[in-house]
Amino acid sequence: MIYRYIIIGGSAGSFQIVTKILSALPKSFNKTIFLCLHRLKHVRSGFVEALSIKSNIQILEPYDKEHIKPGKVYLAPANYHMYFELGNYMALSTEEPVNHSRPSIDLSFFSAAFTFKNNLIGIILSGANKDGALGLKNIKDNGGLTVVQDPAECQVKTMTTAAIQTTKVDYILTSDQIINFLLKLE
Amino acid sequence: MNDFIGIVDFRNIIKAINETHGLDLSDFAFTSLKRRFERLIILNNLNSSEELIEKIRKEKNFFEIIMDAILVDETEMFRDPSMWRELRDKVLPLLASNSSPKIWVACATSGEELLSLAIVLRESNLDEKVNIIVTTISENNIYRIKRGIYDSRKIELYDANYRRYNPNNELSKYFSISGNRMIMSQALLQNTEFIKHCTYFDELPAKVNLVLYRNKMIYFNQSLAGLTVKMIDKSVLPGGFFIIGIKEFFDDSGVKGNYIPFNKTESIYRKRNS
Repeated sequence: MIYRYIIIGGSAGSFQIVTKILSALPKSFNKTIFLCLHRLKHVRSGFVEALSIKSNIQILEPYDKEHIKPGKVYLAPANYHMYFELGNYMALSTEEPVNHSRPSIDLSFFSAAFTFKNNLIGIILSGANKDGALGLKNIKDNGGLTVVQDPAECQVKTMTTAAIQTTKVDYILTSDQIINFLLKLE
Repeated sequence: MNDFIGIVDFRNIIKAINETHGLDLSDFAFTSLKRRFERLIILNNLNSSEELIEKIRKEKNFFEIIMDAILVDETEMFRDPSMWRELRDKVLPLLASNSSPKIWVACATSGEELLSLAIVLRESNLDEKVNIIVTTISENNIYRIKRGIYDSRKIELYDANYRRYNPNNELSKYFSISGNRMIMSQALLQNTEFIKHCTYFDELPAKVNLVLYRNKMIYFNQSLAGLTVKMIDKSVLPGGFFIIGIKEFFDDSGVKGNYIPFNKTESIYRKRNS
């Protein structure tokens, strides 16, 4: 299977893990990474900059209808849901929050599963609510690969535990193992 | 809840709505519209897209419910407080130099943008001077916006946004609470004209100094988004302002050249004078 897209969901305790993953990936990494992380809705700037400090890959907060390119990281903007449309472009939405969250990991994962099917890898990291559990199941149901950070390693394990309970996930990995796993995709 | 509708079902639902009611939704953004169809199925206790289509074709008054489901997207009062501050501090002083300035809230859905604007105008002592025109696609929606009733659970968010816009005042000045309902002051909309109007096809029969069109294009595909911008542009006076969502592009339909960025971060554009 050729995995072209990786979508990562996380909340409390995921920032350090995402930073670690991005710093370990080479500039030449040719998959597209989508980040759907819970964040303060009124703080629009600073997040991309903070993530970019150690990343070798360019991180973007996409505009609506922005074309999706390989080798980029797209971070869901504050206070929007992030979707992926057939035709390979992004869509944003201000629909009601889901699981008290906008961006909602479930909604982004549903959309990615529908659009990218078995070319997709879904990863759930540390987090404090259950957002993402149904989304990850949907990725699995659509033929994608599912990975969850080992709850034992998570700062807050609610999100990863919920994901594991909802789906028979393919891999439960520590952050170091996630990095190795992604590096081997190359 | 996510796998009710495939692409073929989606097209069939659009076809049914178009054939039954003459409303063509085929240029709406796929994912958000698909989600609204799925919600329609759930909220009406239906089991499939076939049942939804049957209901669309057989029950004529189901149309208003469809319209509501499609229109009611969630905005929030004082979304992007920094945009409202910029509007108050930089844009309105320029606008106020016109003799009878008009502001157009285009394609209104929930009314929260409108009410935020009305509050900004009042606090800038411009509520008597500036006329607001609100357009929306359904009569039902005009009625709903005029009523100004919101879920009181939203107050906390609205108030937090408002305080970032104006730390020296309180939003509670502008509403009363009854049970779990937040009821906005009717006086805010005394200088507001409501028009049932479809931004997609009709030119507004008025010229305006400012148009608020934030987070609307995200629900359309590229060609419809471009069409609406073109249509709106016809009504914006030279030197007037065009404000879109902070994550929206001005389209490539040729309209962009008519504007210069006034504040790019807040997506405020100003129309050239010639």
